[in-house]
Amino acid sequence: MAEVLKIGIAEWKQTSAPNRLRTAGLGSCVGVILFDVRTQVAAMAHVMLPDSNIARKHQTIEVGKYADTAIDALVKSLNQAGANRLQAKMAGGAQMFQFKYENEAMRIGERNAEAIRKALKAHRIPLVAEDCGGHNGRTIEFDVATSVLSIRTVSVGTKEI
Amino acid sequence: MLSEFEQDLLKELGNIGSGHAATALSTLLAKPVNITVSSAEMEPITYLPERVGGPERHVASVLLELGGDISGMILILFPVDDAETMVTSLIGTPFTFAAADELGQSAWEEIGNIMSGAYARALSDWLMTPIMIQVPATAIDMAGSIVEFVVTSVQPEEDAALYIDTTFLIDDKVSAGHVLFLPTHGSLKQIERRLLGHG
Repeated sequence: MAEVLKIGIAEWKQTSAPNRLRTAGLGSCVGVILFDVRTQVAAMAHVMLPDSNIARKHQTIEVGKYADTAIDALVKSLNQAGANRLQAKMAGGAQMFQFKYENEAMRIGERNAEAIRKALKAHRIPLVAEDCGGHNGRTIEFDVATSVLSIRTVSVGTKEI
Repeated sequence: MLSEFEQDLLKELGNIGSGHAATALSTLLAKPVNITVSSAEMEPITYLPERVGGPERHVASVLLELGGDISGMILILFPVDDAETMVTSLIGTPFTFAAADELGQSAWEEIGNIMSGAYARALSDWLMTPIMIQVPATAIDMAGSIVEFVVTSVQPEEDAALYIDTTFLIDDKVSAGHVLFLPTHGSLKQIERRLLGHG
């Protein structure tokens, strides 16, 4: 039986075919998936912030929360599972509200996506598809068997990348 | 974690803010509006979307940014159906957000403007400090996406967010509407100091 694993804000999970990975209600957060077609394993993180350096010193870092730590954790875990040709897809990073006067904190979606692109580049993982930015929330589901990422928005409906 | 005393203080703050927002809404709609402040808690951010009806619930929202001594955000969320009913009764013709009706859209913005403004004024009066506000922004989308955006903007470094939650009864019908007040971490300290200082 195929299972759908749900990933909450700042969490990450790994699974293999025929299972799917799902995260609902992405706003400024970015859902990033690393997968290996040959071994049919994949992991998804619901990344909330670009950089773990902003975490307080005494705090235990939730690795899925930050772009840099999430990508490191996913790569390590997938490699341990035998993956060796990782590819990536991602979606999210929206600007949910449009204010007259925007401050830096409100462009967090854009910065999240950029931080993930950078982390992927550092690990030499190709980003094969993405759907980022805009003003809509997204719910995404990744099918490990086919590597298809379905993206649902309230206003546009569902599309696949 | 908040102490019981802190929770009571913040609930009271929520009561006063939402009370003023409800009065403003009642005047606008010419209907009785009642409220219950259901909670004032530190909640792990992962749970917040569930608290407002699930991450994929389709909602109409208004977001007001607060600045000055007290900084943070006030977020008003209503299920889309309830928001459409409110707008319809305000403009007198059937309204849906999907129809891109400008009059209705601006009526919704006005509802949000008046409610969030009333909440902010009540906070300012009670805390005896000026609070600066800007024009609120609206979004019609998934509750999870909206809450996540707000939490990330207000309290990015925290793993838990403080929120004060209010439920509305319009015309004696319970609406799954929520008003969330999310102060920044620094402002929470400021609020406590002011509340304790003024007994």
